[in-house]
Amino acid sequence: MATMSSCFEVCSVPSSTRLLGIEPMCGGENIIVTTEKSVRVYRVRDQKLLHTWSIRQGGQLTSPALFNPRTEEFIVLQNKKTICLWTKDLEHLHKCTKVTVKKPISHLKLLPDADPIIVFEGGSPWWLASITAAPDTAVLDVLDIDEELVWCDVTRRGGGVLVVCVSREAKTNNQSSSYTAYLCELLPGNQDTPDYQTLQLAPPSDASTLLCCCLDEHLMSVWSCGSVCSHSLDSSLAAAEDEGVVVPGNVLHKLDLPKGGVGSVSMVMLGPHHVGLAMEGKDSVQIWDTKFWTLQADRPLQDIAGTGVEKLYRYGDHLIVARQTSVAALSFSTQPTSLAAVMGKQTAEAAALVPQEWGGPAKKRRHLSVESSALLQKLLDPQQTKDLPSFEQMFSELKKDEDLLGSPSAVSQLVQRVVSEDRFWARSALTELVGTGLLSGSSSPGLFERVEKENDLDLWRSCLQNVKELPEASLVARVRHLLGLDDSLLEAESAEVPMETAEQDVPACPLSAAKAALLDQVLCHSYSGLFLQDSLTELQFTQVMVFLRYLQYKLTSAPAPSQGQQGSVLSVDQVVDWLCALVDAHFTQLVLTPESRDVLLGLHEVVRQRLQFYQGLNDLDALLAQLKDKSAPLVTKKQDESLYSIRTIQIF
Amino acid sequence: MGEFRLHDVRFFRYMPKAIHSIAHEQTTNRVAVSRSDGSIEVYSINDNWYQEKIICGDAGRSVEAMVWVGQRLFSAGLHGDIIEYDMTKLIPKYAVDSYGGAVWCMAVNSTQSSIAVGSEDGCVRLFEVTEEELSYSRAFKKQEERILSLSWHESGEVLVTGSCDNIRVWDVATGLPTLRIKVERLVRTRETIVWCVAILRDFTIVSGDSLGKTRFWNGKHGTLIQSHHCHKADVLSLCVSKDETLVWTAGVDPKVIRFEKVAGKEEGSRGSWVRHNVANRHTHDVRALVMTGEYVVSGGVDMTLVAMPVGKLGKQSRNILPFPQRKLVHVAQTARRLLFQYQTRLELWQLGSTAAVSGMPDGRLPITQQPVSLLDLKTKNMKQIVCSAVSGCGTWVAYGDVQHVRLFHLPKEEGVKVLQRVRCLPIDLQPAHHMVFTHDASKLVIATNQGAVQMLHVDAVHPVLVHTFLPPKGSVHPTTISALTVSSDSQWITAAHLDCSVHVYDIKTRKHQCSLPKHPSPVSALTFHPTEPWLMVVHASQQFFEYNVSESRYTDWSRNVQRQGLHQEWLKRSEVVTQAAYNPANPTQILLQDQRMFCVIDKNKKLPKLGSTFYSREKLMKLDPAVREENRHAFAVCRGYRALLHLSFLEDGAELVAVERPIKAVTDKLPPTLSQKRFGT
Repeated sequence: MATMSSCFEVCSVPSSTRLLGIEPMCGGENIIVTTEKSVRVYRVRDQKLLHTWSIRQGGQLTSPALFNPRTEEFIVLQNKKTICLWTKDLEHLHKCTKVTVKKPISHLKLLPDADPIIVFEGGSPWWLASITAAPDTAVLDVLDIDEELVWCDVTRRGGGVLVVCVSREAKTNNQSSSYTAYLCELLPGNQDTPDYQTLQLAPPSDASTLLCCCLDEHLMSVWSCGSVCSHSLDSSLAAAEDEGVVVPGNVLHKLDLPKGGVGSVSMVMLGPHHVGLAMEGKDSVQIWDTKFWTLQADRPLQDIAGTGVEKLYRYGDHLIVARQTSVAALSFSTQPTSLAAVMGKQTAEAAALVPQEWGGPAKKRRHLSVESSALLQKLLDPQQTKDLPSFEQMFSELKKDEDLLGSPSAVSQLVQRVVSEDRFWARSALTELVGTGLLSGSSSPGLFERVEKENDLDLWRSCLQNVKELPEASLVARVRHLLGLDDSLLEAESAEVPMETAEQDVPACPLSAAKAALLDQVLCHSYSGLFLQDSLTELQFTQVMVFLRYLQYKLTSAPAPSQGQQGSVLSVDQVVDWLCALVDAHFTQLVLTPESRDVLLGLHEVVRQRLQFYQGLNDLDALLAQLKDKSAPLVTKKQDESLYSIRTIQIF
Repeated sequence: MGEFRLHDVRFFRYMPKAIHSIAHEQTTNRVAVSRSDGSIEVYSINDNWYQEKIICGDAGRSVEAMVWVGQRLFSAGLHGDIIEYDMTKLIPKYAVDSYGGAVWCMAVNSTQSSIAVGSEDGCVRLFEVTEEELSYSRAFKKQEERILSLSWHESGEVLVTGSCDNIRVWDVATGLPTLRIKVERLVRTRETIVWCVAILRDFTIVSGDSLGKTRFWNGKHGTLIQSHHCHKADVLSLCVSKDETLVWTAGVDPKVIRFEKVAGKEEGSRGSWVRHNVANRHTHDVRALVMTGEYVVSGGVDMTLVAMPVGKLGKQSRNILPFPQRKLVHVAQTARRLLFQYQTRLELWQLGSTAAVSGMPDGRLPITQQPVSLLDLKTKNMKQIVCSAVSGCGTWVAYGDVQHVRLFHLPKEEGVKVLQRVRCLPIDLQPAHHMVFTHDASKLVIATNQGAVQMLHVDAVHPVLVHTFLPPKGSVHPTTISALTVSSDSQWITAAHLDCSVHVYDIKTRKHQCSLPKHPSPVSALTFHPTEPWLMVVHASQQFFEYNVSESRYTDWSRNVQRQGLHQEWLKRSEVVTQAAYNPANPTQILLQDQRMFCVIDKNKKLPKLGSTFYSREKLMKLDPAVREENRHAFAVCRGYRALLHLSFLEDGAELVAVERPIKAVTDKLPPTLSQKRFGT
């Protein structure tokens, strides 16, 4: 996991000069920003400018300035051949100590707790101290004449410092250029010209050019084809000869580069398994995980002035972004990557857990036996079970496998098959399937529609009881079906349902008793008011009127709100919810239509009565609360608080 | 150790008073605390916060401000007088008119030579402190508004005052204001009151006002350096640490906020004051805040004195319960009567009884007879009571105020309850600090306010002063007596003085018998063995000794205790033992009581080993009986009281009377606090 905080601007760069680079000021919280004309030191925390040194007209700085904490000196290159050294107390840069060498210098490099290193354009690295001591030392070129130093970095290896230079040999005849890495180990105190080893960096594909590199244990490179390669820097591979061993890049990942190619990509190591990456054309900084090559974080830079990303630097837990006209910083954090994290499955606890060996028996999964699977396939295949007898026979065979009817997927598959089968109606099988209680509303579309089409009320009721989590749309569809149902179909049912004894002032139920009982079952299901309202708009207006009347009737007769439990008895709060949703969904039409007026007025009257009733309850509640206040000392009085008591006490 | 029948008495409705001001005396590390009834209490911080002295208040006297000049205590209040107190007799020595009406504030300069008094008429007046008294020196130029707060600069040349809407800086030499800082109003018609002000060495002025703002001003130019709006209501008091890097403020919202001076980012730049932390130790307005060096002491309407340690993390702050650390309850052991001493009245109660013989441990017994109030005696002119006593037979009641001793007789006649005041008390009888009847009720022993002990023959018609025992010559000044006791055979009187000396007088020979070896800490409780001439002395440092008076040596048991050392758990208790008593039925048991616990020490049991677990009764109860037996030791501690005011044996030694005043019952009667919006309410 990696995160990036919001970005803030450290400083802006005058457009007249070019930013050369940014270096951390070792041992502090400051960064050194070097342009062609000036060296500035900023404190990142509050973006304060601490020091500025400018170069005189005519001169030009050619490398980012470094700060050597050992000598407390700043080092910068002027006009490629002059090394300037000064301390922070110096006021003007032209008064600094200058050492001029004969050959142009390309890079100045510094590792923490090591001496600075200079790398000549010819590719040979030297300790700075040995050059300043003897500026006239003859420096041999490592690179061939047609080779050009494109990239250079240093890393710690053993007791010394490994300098890696990458050169490009321009080929004349339109071939892709070839790249060579020169590895050179500098040992502290060793003043001699060091030996070097070469590695031929093979491009991952033809005609791709090297965009950028970064150095870790391996050399990581990004190529213009989008490939990210890792090259081993094992010196045993490298030969001492000039003709370096060709090291094929181990392609780690293929970046999705913008079309038309990119001129530059900047990459910086942010930890053992993370790199920061920015590329031309994309105005954002990304953090990639190098183990799995997944994008961990992506932060757009729109809120910072300037465009593009020239280069990325790392400074502590901050990522410094050098843009064309500004330098921005953003803090980042990375956690060790794991597969779980990459998959997005890592929880906070899991992150803290040590991975454990899974030596125990593998978790037993429910697998259908081979025969059952075959049977299931047959059952599911309309071609193999063409008619009802064959289907039922198969099904009865299948029932022997206990596991099958315990598997929700198998059950829902079977239900789908039965429901979609037009040629026969496998009622008994479906009844059993529904009876398993494993179906949910979303996994069995079309079930109710088919049952309704068959006019099978028993099965319909069974479905209503056993199918879980009916979506609101489905609930409304059931309501619609019920309201449209012919009462004659329900006559058989009505005998079973005891008719509620209507009291004098309660309006008669607008629906038959059996229908009302079924409707109550539908309304008792759980729902969300918002979705309910959307679905209720589907109801036809005549049905709305009937439904509204029914709900009004229920409002006058339903029992008090249920306390959390989902009973089969419709309670007032459910009725009110449905009422609200219904009236809300059809409000305009209800208001505009004259025939609804009576119903609405009646409903309003009922609601008002109810409100009055609750108002009365409120008064009673206030009275009782007062009683509780008054009697509180009596009820909660602890025995110990009495004014006088005698007790036996044992002292030991 | 034994089973007792404990009478839990909670009908003593003593109401402590709110704290109005606090003053700290640096050389001996004492704190004077004044309460709303005008009484002043002096605590010795070095002696485990022992309440050494109580100066009784008076209805016509208020204490708004106090200063210590050396060991001398001055107070001033809205009655318009500045009073110096006699710290031995604990009465006002003299009063000087402030010449400006009600006094709101008072401060002494760093050389302790003059006191500045800010009063109602808007004038700062200087009083010179001379050897003998306080003399008016001069007044500063008058301003319109009353002066509510003032502070001396260390140099003594500059004074800063706070009043309504402004802060003024005065030149002491000329008496003219050099600077006037106007404090803004929140509402145009409502003036902003600067309740407290302080000036630091670098002329930074700290002020707290009725807007709830703590402000730091440049005292030379009158510019505002910083303003912190931390309090929700008026900032009433502030105090500054010695090195002037810390400032505490407190006010109507009961928070104590600490500000710390933080050095500037670069050298030479001005430091800033940062709000540091907030302590919520009070429930009501904090009226007074004082820095004693080691503690920040605060007090206010919720009556409890809170001492918060400065700087040391993890050290507990300490709450000093608002009840006097002296006997407010007296028991007539034979008659089973209780005498309650309120500020200005006395109550006598007959204890209830039960017919049940025994019951479950800690179980309640049915009460067959409820306690009966026998007497409710108000003092004349609402004078505050200094001390009181009741005889063992319950027929004699005596009390003393700052001027007189009064004696009452309650004849034991059936049906008739007529209280007779005994007039014609001898004219030589001096005002009392402590008094106690002898066991046979024939004599009343009085510790006078001059450090002597007087013995009065008790008689309903003509009481006679039998003898006055003077402390042996040696000490130049008489010192206040902190504890007094009489042996049950009426042979010995012991008086413990605040200079830590303890003198024993022989009643029969009417001579000074002996003085106990001096222990560095004052005596807080004294008692005699019922049969032997042994004296139990408990010091404020939690040490105790048993002394054989006739042989003038410590008893063997006491030597043994000292040799082995007291358990750390015992020594680190914060409360001071206020009462000690032997069990009359079993004198090997000694009862020690402070405001939070009581302890029965059995001399026959082994002492707790140093470093071993010190089990209290509650902990032992939870243990297995076998383990319990193993862990038993001589100290049977019974914790869990909040303000246990009295505990003593009745005559048979099988019954105990515990008078508790639950602190919650007291705080429930307080006025409502500043209502603050809390989440979810």
